[in-house]
Amino acid sequence: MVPMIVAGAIGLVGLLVTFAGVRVRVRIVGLSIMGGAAVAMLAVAGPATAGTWWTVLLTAVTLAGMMAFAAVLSRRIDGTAHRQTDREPGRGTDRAQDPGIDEGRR
Amino acid sequence: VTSGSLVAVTLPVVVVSPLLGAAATAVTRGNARARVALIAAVLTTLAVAVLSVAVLTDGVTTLVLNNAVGLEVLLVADGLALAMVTMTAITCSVVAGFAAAEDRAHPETRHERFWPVWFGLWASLHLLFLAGDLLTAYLMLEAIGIAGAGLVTLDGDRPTLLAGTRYLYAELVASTTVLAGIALIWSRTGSLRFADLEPGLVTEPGGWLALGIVSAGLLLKVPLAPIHIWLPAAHTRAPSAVSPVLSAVVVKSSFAVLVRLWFVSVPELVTRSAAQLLGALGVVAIVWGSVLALRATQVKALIAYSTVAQLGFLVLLAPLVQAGAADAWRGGLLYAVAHALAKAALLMAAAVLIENAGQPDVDALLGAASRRPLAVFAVGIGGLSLVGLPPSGGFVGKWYLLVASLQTGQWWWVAPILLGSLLTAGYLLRLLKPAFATDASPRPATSASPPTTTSTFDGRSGLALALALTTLALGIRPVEMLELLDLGAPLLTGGP
Repeated sequence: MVPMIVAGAIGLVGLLVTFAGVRVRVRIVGLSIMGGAAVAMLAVAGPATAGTWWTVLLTAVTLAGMMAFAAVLSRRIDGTAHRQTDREPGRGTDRAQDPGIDEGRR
Repeated sequence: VTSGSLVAVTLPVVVVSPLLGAAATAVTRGNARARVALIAAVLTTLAVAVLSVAVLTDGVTTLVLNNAVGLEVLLVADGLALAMVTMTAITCSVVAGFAAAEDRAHPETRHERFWPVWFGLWASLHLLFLAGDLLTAYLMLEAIGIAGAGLVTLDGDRPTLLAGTRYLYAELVASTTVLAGIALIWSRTGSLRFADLEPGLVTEPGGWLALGIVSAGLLLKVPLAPIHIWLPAAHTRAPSAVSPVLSAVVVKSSFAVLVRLWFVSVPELVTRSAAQLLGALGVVAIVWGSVLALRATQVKALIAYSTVAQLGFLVLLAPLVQAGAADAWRGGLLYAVAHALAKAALLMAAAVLIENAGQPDVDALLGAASRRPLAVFAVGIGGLSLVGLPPSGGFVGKWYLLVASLQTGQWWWVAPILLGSLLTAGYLLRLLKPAFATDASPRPATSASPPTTTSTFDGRSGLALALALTTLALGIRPVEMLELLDLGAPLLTGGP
């Protein structure tokens, strides 16, 4: 039970980082901590069998896929912001009406 | 399950068929891709129809699929699963026709990855609804999240990417929360099968905590107000063939897992206060979503906020089923099916109307009834079901919920159901009123995407209307769906 409580506490830290983080990168780190802690909880919850390890592996891969997709989308958002700035340098008002994830938290 | 029986054969086919659709559309190109997609959609829907008839004949069926490394997938074909799978198949097959028509009408917007991701989403939905264990359900929720966000962000302008990213972030927070709860459940029960959870969770300390953590994650995934913030933007910005499936079917995925967990798997652990709290959140969702829909200025935003409100009606089944009302089980789930059919029809019709108007504003629908009568008719029929007027499926669902409220003595749910229905009528009339008004002014010159289809009766409007009419069919003859929902229902022997 102790490893599970420790992993749960780490997951809560990840949750706090995710919600407190202003920059996208920080939030992805927070989500990764949450995901890692949840996978660790799963690893200590099940019996020590091959099925458990496959379960943990499958879960970790799926979560990692979601994190990677979130990172790719964030990069694409950055890319569109730069393209927009390059094309239309004076359109500050559009940016204000359409806040990015970073800007939206401020 | 008897190997070789019709159910044993069709159960895996229902999951594999859309996967084959994904593979086939990934290797085909051009116009052939849409034809292959339609064939896969029809075959999948036929497989679901055969499975539903077979299960109605044979009763609840369970199928265990094992592999060499010790992983098992448990498929359960009961009433809840089949109602949701039938809803998914009908909605997805009609929306697939709509997407194929969009491909023909606007080949320039055709996206290479649309059809494979679309069928991947469809297969994940089927496996989720049929899953007999928490782990499979969790993995499919992940797959649905990835596919959903992928479809939203196919067209990569900045606001769409922002909406899709927020959707994915919310999914990630919810997923990790659900996973932590699943780990706790596993440590308490030693099993992840829905059917084996109750003894361990009821007797072991911390069972309620594990259930609470999983439930919180699932409610964020649904999403239930006030944690619905990501939904309107994602559903509004999604491509016109994606919004209907997100608003109609994807929102039911976590809801179905929650219902199975609470009332089929561990009903003894669900306390009256927890169920009442969920019902209260449902009332908040009804009022909050309706007010936002009444204030929305754009057509798709109005319908997206309507989804927030309608999800509130669905969770009203919780306090009533907890009190032992079998009618609440039937009404809540039948309303879920009716809502899916009506909402998908509304969004498909909205896409046609927005394209015809050239802009997304509600005011731009002025005179739409004369230009796109079928689409406006679809909005009217779908709206009938959402409001809950006879003879629609929405009426039957709400009627059962009202009866269950009075049967269980929980009269305080009657007012939100009736008030919510009035509010629904109010915001849907905002779409219909300008559509039937006379358009005396010249068409706006700021048309963002001028219409390419000149015919008043285009195929996409016809598909939207056909789907809307299925909600009427469900209301006129709900017997088969109600029989299906009774299969494996938890409370039919213990009514009030």
